[in-house]
Amino acid sequence: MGALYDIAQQVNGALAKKHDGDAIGLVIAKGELATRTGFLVALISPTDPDDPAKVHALREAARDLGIAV
Amino acid sequence: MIRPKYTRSERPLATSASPYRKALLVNTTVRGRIAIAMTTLVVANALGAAFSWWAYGEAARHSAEARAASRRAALASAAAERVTAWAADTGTLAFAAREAKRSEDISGPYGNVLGSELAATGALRRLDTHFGADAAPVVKQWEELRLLTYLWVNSEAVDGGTDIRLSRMSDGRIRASFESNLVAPQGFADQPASQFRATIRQRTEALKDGTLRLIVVSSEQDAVEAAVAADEALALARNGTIATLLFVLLLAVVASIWLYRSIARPLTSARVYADRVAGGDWAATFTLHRSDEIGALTHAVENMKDAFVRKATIMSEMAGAVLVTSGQVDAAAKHAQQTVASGEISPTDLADDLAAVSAHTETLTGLAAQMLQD
Repeated sequence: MGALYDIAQQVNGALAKKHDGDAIGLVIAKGELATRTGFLVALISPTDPDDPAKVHALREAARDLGIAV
Repeated sequence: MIRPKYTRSERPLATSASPYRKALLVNTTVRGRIAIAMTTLVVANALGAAFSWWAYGEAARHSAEARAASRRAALASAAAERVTAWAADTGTLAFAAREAKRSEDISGPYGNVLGSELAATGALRRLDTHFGADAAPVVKQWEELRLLTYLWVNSEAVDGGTDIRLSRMSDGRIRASFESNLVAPQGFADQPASQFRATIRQRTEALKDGTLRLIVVSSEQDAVEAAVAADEALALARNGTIATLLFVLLLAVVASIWLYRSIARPLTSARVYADRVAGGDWAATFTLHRSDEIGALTHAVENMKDAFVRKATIMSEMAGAVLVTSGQVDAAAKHAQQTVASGEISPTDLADDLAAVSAHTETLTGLAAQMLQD
């Protein structure tokens, strides 16, 4: 438990870094991530179970957005 | 090393701070602080009032002692005057008894002696009331002097050949008669009148100028000392009351400063923090760590801020998803329009476009459902 949350944090951090100063770009990137994974990354909490399907979907979506985790 | 900037009231206490200091400055509730301040003031006031009450009581006691001593001095002085008057009247009676031919000849001086003896006895009795056992020698001297004096009057009557004698009634008063029941003390039986006179004069002086005078002097001295003690106690009470007032005033100032520093100032900091959060400063933090009501309030504000941040983040992500999905739907719709416009209508292409729109819409609906469930 916690791996999914950690990956989500890493992805969020990388997106924020990638779109530093571009608030709209960051919003769109997060929306892209959500539509690709099928769930809202902001809803992931540290206590959420590490669903393998979600972890895989998040890794895939991040890779599609050019983020390696 | 960069240290965070704290106001004085926000600064965390050093780990070496005493548990009492921590308890007073950090772990005491606001109600507890107010209760401590109020209790301290009330206790200080009560102690001051108790001290003033005691000091004023001492002053009153010394004043009463001074009045009593003055009263005793006045009584002793009055008794000495009465004894003097009585001695003069007895001298007159003795002379009259020596010269009298009939009992009526001494009636005037006899009446005077009765009156002056009553006055002197009353004065000495009042002295006895105020002095108690200390006046016993005076009473004894007075009884002996009376007996010797009346024996002397009888002796003068014998020398003058007069039949009149003084005797004592059952109630202790004297009366004139023809026989005397007075019993002379040892050593005074059958003494000549001249011998009595010398002894009486000596004993009268001893009573007046000796014993009674000593009482007057010592009582006046007691009165002066008691008056001085009363003045000192009054001054102590006055100074103590002033000192207590100043101390309580100082305590009130200290308590006010303490309450201001430990309550008002942190509340101001908490308000500034809440204003920053309300203004959208999501990065604002509050470093005050307290276990009182103010700490609970700021903790609640922090929780509220965290909840706002989370909601805003979700909303932002949802807005991004809407933007992306609308773009995708728009793209599918345009592709369908181009297909129709080109005249090369392919049911498969249209079905694919519609399926894409449906998938995107379904994804967006799912995300919205997740958001609403949170």
